[in-house]
Amino acid sequence: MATISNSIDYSQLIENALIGYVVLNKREIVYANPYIYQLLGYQANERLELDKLLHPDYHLVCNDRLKVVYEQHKSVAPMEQKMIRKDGSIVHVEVFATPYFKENEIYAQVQIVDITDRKSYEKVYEDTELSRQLMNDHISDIITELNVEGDVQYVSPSISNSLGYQPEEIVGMNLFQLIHPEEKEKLYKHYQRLLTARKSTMVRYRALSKSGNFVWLESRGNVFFRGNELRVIADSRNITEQIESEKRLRQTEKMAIIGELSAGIVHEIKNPLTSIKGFLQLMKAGTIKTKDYISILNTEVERIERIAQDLLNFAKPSNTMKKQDLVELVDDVIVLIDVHSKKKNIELIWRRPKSPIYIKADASQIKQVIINLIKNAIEASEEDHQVEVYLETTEHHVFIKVKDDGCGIPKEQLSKIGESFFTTKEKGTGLGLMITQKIIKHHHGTMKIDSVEGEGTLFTIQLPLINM
Amino acid sequence: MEYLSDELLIESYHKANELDLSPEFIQLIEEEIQRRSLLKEIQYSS
Repeated sequence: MATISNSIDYSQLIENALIGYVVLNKREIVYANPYIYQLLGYQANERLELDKLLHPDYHLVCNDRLKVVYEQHKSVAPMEQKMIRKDGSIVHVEVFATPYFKENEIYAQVQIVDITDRKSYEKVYEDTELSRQLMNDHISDIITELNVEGDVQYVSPSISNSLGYQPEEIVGMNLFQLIHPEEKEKLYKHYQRLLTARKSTMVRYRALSKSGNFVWLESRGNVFFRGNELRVIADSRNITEQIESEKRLRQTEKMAIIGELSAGIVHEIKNPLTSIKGFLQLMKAGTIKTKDYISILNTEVERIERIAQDLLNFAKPSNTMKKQDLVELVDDVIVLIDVHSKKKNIELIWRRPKSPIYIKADASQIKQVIINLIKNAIEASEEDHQVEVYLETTEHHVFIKVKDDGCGIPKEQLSKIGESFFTTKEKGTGLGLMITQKIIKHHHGTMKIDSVEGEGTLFTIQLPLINM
Repeated sequence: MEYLSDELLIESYHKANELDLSPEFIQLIEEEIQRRSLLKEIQYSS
């Protein structure tokens, strides 16, 4: 080592360096290496003047810095400055100066590094960062990054609008801690499916807000890799208002159904009333033994009571998922709609299973679905035809089937079924099937329509059976 | 109405007519009689 370093020609290193070196005597350039000429676009024999090379913005600071070098014999820290090429264009440089002593003279030795590239990267970075910041601050959706366990790695500030937390309160927390107990399992399964199948789907659930209320969120997740680590990015939005308006819509539609069925229902009540009144008159006349009539009156009163109770249950807004016997739910619906079918001379056949079939459901909502389907079937049917309602079960599911041999649905319209305000009926609103679909989705079920124009339609609703 | 015995049903029909009760009531009884195919019974006895 020592032998080599002794024989090195240092001036050659400076001449070939890819950093600019300048030596100043006062403000006069006494030496500049070839890199400086190249960087600033001068010929090797041209005279270089400091005041021309240095951007005017830096003349003053340059004087101050040179003073430190010349008078205090100290180096100055590297500083970003601008220089001007011979063609007038600007070069971003970093300048460092230190004293250089030779034969009792003091010079300033200046190192100049071209940082144009770095500057342009910085610009790109600043722009990107600004866009990111803007998006971050103004997006209304909540963007969350999670690891495979569901621990929050990042959450956008928009979370404070929907849930009231500051991002730093949530980062590091496990997502599932904030989920409503009723939806925890569903969401967990969904999360696992997302991680394994890596396909994004929407999911709705309730999350605990800072104020202690539950807020409905709808999220779409996607997986990505941060380095080698699998991560989930979720886009969530607050749909509490949407859920509320869906609920209102459901209720409105239900009231409309009741309105439509009311003529039939009143008729259904009037018959027992007529016979009660008649028998009471017979009893009053004393012509027949009262005892014989008591049980008759009883059954008629019970019939009226049943109809009134069914109607009340149906009209009551509800939102509770409970274990329900599907067979009983259909029974209740048949009572309400039977007259509606008789009025059109349509035979409503209910193939009632002997044993109960349990599902987890909101009774009123499921009745709304069944009533909707039967009503549709009746309206599609010609007089003197049949509408059939039956249930089929497999190991995990029950199928509710409503079959008519009515006008059917044209093929090109099948795909539009369930869109809001789409209807094939003259007086329809198009809301019935949309609400039906929403309710079924809420119950984790599916709906299928098999229809041949002119031959009839079979609606099939699939719902999960309760785990016994 | 459907739980009434045939005998009682027919008796009620006659009494209802006798007492001139509401036509709707009489019609309900008639419908039930028809349903049970007992029309002959009232024709004979009247």
